[in-house]
Amino acid sequence: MVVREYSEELQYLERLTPHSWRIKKGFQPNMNVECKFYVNQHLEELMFEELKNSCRPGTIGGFLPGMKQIANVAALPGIVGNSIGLPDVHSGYGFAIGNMAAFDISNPDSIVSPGGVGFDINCGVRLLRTNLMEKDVQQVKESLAQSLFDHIPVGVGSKGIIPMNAKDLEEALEMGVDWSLREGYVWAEDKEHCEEYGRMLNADPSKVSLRAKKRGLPQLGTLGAGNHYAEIQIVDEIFDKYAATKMGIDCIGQVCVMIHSGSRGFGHQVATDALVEMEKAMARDKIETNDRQLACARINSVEGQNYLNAMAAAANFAWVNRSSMTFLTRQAFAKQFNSSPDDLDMHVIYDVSHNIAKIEEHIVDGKLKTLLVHRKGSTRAFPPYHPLIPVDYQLTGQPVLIGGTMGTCSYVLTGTHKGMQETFGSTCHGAGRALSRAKSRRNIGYQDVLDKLQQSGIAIRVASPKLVMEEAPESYKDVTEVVDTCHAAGISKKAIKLRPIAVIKG
Amino acid sequence: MDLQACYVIIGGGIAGVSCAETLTTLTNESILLISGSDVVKVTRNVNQLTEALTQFDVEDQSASEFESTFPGLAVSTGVTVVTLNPELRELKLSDGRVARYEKGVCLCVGASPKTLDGAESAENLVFTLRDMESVASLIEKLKDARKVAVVGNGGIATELVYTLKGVQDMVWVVRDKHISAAFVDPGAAQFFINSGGLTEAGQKKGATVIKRLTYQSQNGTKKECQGAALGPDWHTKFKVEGPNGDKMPNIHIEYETEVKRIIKRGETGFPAELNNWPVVLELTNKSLIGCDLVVNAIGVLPNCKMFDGVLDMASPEQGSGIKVDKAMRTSADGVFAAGDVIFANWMKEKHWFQMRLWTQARQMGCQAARAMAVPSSVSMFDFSFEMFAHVTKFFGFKVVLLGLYNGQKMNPGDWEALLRVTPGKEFIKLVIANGKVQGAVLIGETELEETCENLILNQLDVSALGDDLLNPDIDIEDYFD
Repeated sequence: MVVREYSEELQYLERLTPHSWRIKKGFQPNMNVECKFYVNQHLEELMFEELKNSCRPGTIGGFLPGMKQIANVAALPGIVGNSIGLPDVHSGYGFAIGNMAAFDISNPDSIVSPGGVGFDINCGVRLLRTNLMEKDVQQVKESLAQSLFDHIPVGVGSKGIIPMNAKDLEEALEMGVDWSLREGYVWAEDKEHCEEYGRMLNADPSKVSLRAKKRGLPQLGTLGAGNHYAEIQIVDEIFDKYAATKMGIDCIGQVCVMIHSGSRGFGHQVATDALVEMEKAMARDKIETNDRQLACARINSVEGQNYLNAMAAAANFAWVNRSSMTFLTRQAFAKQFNSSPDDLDMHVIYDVSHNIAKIEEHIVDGKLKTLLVHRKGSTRAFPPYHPLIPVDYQLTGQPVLIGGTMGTCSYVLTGTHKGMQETFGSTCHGAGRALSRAKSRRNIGYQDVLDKLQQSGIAIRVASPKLVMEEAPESYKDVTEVVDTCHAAGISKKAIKLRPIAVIKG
Repeated sequence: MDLQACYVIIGGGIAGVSCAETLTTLTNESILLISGSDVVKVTRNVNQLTEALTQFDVEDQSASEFESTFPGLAVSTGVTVVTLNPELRELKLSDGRVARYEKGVCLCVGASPKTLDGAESAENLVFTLRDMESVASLIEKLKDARKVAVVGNGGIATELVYTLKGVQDMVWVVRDKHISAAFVDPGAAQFFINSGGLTEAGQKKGATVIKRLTYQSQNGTKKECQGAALGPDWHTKFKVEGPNGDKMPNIHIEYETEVKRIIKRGETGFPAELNNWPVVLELTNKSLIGCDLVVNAIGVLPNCKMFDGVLDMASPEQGSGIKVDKAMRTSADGVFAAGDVIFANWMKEKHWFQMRLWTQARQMGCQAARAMAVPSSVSMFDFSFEMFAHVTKFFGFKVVLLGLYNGQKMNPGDWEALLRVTPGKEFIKLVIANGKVQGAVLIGETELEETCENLILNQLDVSALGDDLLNPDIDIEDYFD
């Protein structure tokens, strides 16, 4: 990484609008296109502070600031348009999380990069509605949450409700939601309201390693730890009445369930396998990148195609996962309210993915092109009249589900034409963790612990903060800020706000 | 009357019960569980924290209650196995009866505590802590104890030291340079001590509801064998208390020494100056310790003597045990084994090693069931043995151990530890070799289990991140998402 003076770096940055900035070529070496990132005033401060800190002398190793990562992506072969940073952008492996980049398939140099998809392939969000109101649920909140918790299986091997064996896994990987439909776990309408109709057709289970399958099998149908969760939510605010109505949301106080989950260990293994393969092939295909973590392969190479087909299998895995949880959520509610999921109107409003690579058609410089769009920590947001969105959303645009962090509020947005033009139909995915909120982690007063370790002959390194952080409660990229910024920038439009009343964590 | 079933399982501990439970989901054929004691161990609230890491509660259930939960499962108690004949598919039991299996037998007979020299003659004064019954006896004895000596440095010893109250003084005799050596390193041990783990203040933090365990013994036959091993959180189910009620004892730790022998008052060699104590420990470091009671928690040996000559065994140097492959198969056709009694005789994955823990016992029990009922499926599930993973609680802290958490299988110069410590809150140690994470010790609510597990299983090169991997100002979970 080139370490320049901060003032020098600023010369490559130019404000475009109150909500967007431009990064010119030269900010990082070998940039093929310019970059653009979306911010509001506060988020802008965070971005620039991050950059400033990295320019201090003596800073070695560690995380690249978001701006630098976005710029390194712009240096990848075959990229078109801009490398885009959404308002929730923050450091990630290879690509930053909240970075969108699209590559022209007709260009033989174009690449595909697993870092641009993420390890948790098809980590995404699904929203179910009900016709219950908050008052119906408040009294039974605890038992409902418990019921959900009890119903969601903890995996194969213990008494999972949805049985799964190796053969089931193969079929699920190939068929995605069609498997769930065949097995009777989902409604036919659910497919309509899912990206790719819940199944990527180019999925090839034979391109998935045995190790990935072994990691995946016990986890199929489970929620996962970390930032995966299911929430019972209440409609808190309606910004776009028409769009909300089309989604079946009629009034404030209506109860919904949001499921946030992905492919977990399975996705991790698929990504890892691909990174290893691609690193080997890069010398052969003469691909150079600014960052080793940006390992990639030509889209049409064997490695590239293998990855895309395995990635599709992982995506299907995640859709089957969310479908399984949908089934169990419907059962839990039906049981609690002594009704049927049908009578409770528990339809899927939509299901979006925010870690995925898709082949899409977009207008670039006035011409229609087929692109491979990488969205990592970024959600597809197609506008009204787009052929790939369901009939009932043709007039409103595709619903975009934004889960905040567990316990904070969530949003539903819709896609816009402006977004289609500026970001190839992409918007944010949630909140951005710039800096940890756990300020209680400080490294003082444990010298004797270190001494004891050293005495036993182990080489030790201690992780200390690079900077002295004063109170930094605002360093967190809050979901409301992020969503408002996208709205102000015109790349997506706010429709509904939801607040959680119960959370289920795996 | 002789017994007969399609599948027979010997042992009512976690391995045996997990095997039986899994079998009931895989087959409709008859299953017979033979348990030496009336009480079996059942798992509850199984919580799959991450792929490899499972947390669960272990409860004791009467054998008859367990039996009634599963149709097709019969439970026979109060007998143990004397001999095994794999050709005839027959077992001879201690009451003279014969048990026959059609398709498979799974030996989950566990392990027995090692004994201390001199313990036999001092029988009332030396307690070997192994199962629920010995704990119950211990509680009885503690009522009048002024000073207790705890010998051993494993999980049970550690948990006991933390739990024991109302005794004025305690001496903890450990073989290693630091406490809880089997699980944590000297640094972590110090972290526990600093956090007040062994003091009054530290205790208040880890308070759990403690209830007295009662169970009905079904047929009151005299027990000839011991019960199953204690299982996780055993100490929270008992009030292990001496005459001083709630107070924490003064704890003195004797490091790097072992018990040479135990001398009872009145025996030759008993030091006169310690005459106010009924028993004395002579340590290898020459110390003489007088006390009212000795608790032996020095480890176990697999109960496999009765299978000598019939099945392949590991040598005493290797740690003994019935040799099994990844599908829990022994050297005899149709004979499987799981849990503490086995010796893992397969090419081990880099990040896995055998340790006699309930988490492994459960995984092995489930695997044995699959191998018996659906042999073709077994290779898809052997991921349990891909990475060592264990979660437990010490001194009130959640402790997660992943992979080669203490640099096991590696030479000291080949790896380094990356640390982040917040006194009293969390202790995080990542074992890094070749720029990749090979193991992790996570103490406290770190929320890093899944991230570390993924890093170990993926073997992702993290050298570029340097120390920032554990930078306290960054939530690293997101980075690898």
